Amino acid sequence: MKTRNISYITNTVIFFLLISIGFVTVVICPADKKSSENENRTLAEMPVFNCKNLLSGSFASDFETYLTDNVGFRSSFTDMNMYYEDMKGISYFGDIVKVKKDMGMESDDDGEHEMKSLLVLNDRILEIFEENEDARKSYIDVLNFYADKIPENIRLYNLIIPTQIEFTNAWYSSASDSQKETIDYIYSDIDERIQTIDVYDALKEHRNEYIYFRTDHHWTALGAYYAVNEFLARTGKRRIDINNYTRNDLPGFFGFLYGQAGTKKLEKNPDTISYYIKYEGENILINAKGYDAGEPVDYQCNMFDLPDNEPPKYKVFLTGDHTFLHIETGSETGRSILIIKDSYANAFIPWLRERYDHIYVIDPRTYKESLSDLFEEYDIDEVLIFNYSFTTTFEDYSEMLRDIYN
Amino acid sequence: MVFSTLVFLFIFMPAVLIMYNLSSNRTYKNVILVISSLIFYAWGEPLCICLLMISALSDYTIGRIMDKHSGQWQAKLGLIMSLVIDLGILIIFKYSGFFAGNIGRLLGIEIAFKGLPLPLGISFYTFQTLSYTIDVYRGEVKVQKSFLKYLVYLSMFPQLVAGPIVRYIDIENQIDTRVVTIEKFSAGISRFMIGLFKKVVLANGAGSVASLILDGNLSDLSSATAWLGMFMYSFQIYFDFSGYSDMAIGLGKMFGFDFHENFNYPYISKNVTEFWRRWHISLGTFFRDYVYIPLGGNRRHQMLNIFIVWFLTGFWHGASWNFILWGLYYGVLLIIEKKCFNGALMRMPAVLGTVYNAVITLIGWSIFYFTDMGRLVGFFRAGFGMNGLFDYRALSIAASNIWFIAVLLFASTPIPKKIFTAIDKRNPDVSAALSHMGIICIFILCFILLIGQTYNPFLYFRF
Repeated sequence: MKTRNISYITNTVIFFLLISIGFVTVVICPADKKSSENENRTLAEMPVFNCKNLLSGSFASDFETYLTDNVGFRSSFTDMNMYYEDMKGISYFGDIVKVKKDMGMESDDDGEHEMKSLLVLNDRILEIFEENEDARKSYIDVLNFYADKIPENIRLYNLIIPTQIEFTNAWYSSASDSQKETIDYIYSDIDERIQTIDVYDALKEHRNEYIYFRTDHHWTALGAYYAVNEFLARTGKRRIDINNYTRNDLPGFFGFLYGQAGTKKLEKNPDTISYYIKYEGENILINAKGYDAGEPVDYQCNMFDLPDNEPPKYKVFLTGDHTFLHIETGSETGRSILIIKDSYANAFIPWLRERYDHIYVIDPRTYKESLSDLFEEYDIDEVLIFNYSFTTTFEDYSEMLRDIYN
Repeated sequence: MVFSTLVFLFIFMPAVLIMYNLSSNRTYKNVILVISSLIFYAWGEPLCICLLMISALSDYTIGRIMDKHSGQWQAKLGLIMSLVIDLGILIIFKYSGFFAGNIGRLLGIEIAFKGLPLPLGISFYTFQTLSYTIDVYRGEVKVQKSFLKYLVYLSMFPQLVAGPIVRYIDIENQIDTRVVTIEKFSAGISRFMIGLFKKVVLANGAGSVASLILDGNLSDLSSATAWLGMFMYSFQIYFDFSGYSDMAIGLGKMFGFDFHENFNYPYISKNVTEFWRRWHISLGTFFRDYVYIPLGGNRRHQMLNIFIVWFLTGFWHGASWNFILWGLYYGVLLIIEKKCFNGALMRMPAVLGTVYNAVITLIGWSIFYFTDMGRLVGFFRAGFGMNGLFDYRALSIAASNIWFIAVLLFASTPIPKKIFTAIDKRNPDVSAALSHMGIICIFILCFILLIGQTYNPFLYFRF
C-alpha cells in the first residue's frame, strides 16, 4: 500500500538522520569542558593504536570511554540523565543510590571500584555506613603499633567522628550499619596507652543544629567546635567559647555528595560554609611541605582559603589536604601537637589555635617521610590520630598509616 | 563489540549499512557482511577469532566430506569429528576450570589451574555450527559449498554474540535469496530500536537496583528487600536477553534475514511448561531436536531424557553448580507438571497460574544469580525472613522506583503491542506517526542514558 511505503521510507530517513546527528555529536563536536569540571577529572584521551592494546582488548574499551567522555554537550546529557533518574519514582521515602567509593587517592583509578551507597533525602544526602571487620582490625592493629612505637613521653589520642546518619530518625539510620558500635569496638580494643575521645554524645546533643553539611560528607565548623571542646575537656585543657569568635558565612556550597549522588533534588538547597575568626582579617599563614611531580617542595597556605569569586569548597578549611603542615599559632601555651588525619580534621584543627603553639598536620596518604624522624626534629607533646568513621573501613588507609612510620 | 555502545551505534553500524548497500552484487554483500562481522567479533577479543575460524573451517570441510560420502562410514566419522572438535573447544574453554576445581575438591588438593578466558559467544556459535553438521548428516539441509557463504551463516554479527541460536536450516535459502525491501528494512529499524530501549532503559535500570540490593551484605537484607532485588533481577535478565534478541532480529532484517522469535512474553506464562515455550525459544528447541528426541523423547525412558536435557540446559548457562541446580530445578518442575495431579497444574485459572509461575520464576532466578553457594544460602535466609520481614530500605527503594517498576511490568506483557496493532488496524496513519515518534523518543532517551551511565565524578581533581 502506498501510505505504508511512505511510512517505511520515513522510518528509514528518520533512522539515518538520527544516526547522523548522533555521529556529529559524538565524533565531530568538541568535548564539553564543563563536564571535566563537574566530574573533577580530565576527560579521556584517544588511546594509542598499537598491537599490544588491540590484542589485549584495552584499545576497544578505552576507545569507547574516549567517545563517551568527549561527546559534545556531555554535561547537558549527564544533567538530563539525573533529571530522568529522579523521575523514576516518588522520593518521599528517600532514595538509595550506589556510587563509587572514593578516598580521594590516585590508587582508585585502576581495576574494579568498590561501591558504597548514599541515602538521598529531599533536603540532604547521607553516606550509608558499611562495617568492614577486616579493615576495622587493620585500623586497630596500626593504632596499637603506634602505641608501641611512639616515644613514651608523648601523649597519644584517638578520635573517631561519627557522621550524621547516626543522628537521623531511626528509619533512615536503619539503612546503615551502626557507627557507634564500630567506634565503641575500636575504642575498647586498642592499647590502653591511647586515650580515646568519645564525642558521640556531644554531637548527638546538638544534632538539630547545623553541625553537618547537607550536600557533603563532612561536618561543619560548628560540629567540629562541639567535638573540640570534648577533646579539650577530656585532655585536661580549658574549653574554648564560640562567643569569642565572629562567624563569617560563605553560601552556595555544593559538596562532594551532591555530585556523586547525581541528583538534581538539592539544586535549590546548597550549603553554607561558616568559618570563625577572632578578629577582622585573622588568617594564619601556614608553612607546608608537599610534592610537585615527585619532587619535594615547600610552600605556604592559609588557615582559611577564601574563595575568589567562585563557589566555596570544603577546602576553605586549611586550604584542603596537605602532605605536611606546620601551624605556628602565636599562642603562648607551651604545647605542641601532631595530628595524623583525614579531611574531617580540617574543620577541627583551626579551633585548636588558642590551645597549642605548634600544630603539625600529616596526611598519611601522601606523606613519604618517616614519622620517627619527625619526633627527633620537632618537640611534640601530643599525637592525635583523627579520623571519621568511614576511614576505619578503608584497608588502604591503615596500610598507609603503617607505612609512614619507619 | 556490544550493540548498546557509541562505537557500534554511530561508527560501526552506519559504516556497515552504507558499505553493504553500495553494490547489489550478492557476493560483494556477503563479503562485506563477513568482514564486518569478523571485525565486530575481534573488536573486544581479537584472539577469539581463531577459535571461531577453526570451528567454521572444520565444520565446512566436514560438511563437504559428509556430502561426498553420504550414507557411508566416512559421513559418520565426520559427524563424530565435528562433535568432538566443536564440543571439545567449548568444554576446554568454558568448562575446564570447573572440572579442575571439582576434581581438586574431590581429591582434597588445591589445583592452581583456574580455567581459560571465555571466548565471546562460544556457547551460541558452537550450537549453530553443530546444527549444520548434524542436519547435513541427517540429510535435512544441502551442503554449503562456499566457505564464504558458510561464514556468513556462522559469523554474522547480529546473532553471533548473544543469539538467537539460528539453525542453518532456517537461513539456508536466505543466504542466496534474501532481499532487503524497504518494508523489511523499516521493520528492522523498529525492532532494533525496541531492543535498544529494552536494553539501555529497562534492563540497565532494573540491573542497577538489583545489584544495589543483591551485591552487598546479604545478612542485612530483610525479606522484602531481598525479593525486591530478585524481582528487579528478573526484569533485568529478561529485558537484557530479549532486548539483545530484538536487536539481533532487527539487524538481521536490515540485511535481509528473517530469524525466528526467541522470546514470547514469558512472564505471562501460567505454568512452567508454558514458560519454557516462551523463554529463550531457540535454546529449548535446540535441546529438544538434538538431544531429547534423539535420546528417545517421551517414548523411551522419558524421565532420564528430561533429566539429561535439563542438566545440560542448566550447565550450558554457566560453568558452576548453581546453573546445573537451576536446570534440574526446572526439569523436576516440568515432570511434576506433566505427571502429578493428572496435569492439574497446567490447567489453573489464569491469575492463579501467573502468580504460581511468578513465584517459581523468582526462586529460579535466585538459584541462577548466585554462583557462590554461600551467598545463595545467605540470600534464601534473607528471603525467608531470617533478618526480618520488612525494613526501611525495601520501602525506600520500592517507592523511589515505583513508576519504573510499573513500566517494567507493562512492557513485559503483550498489551503495548496489542494496543499498537489495534490502532494500526483502525488508522494506519496514526500508527505510522506513533512509530516515527517512538523511534525518535527512544533514540533520544537511549542516547541520554548511554552518556549518563558513564558519569564518573571524583573527590579531588584527577590528572
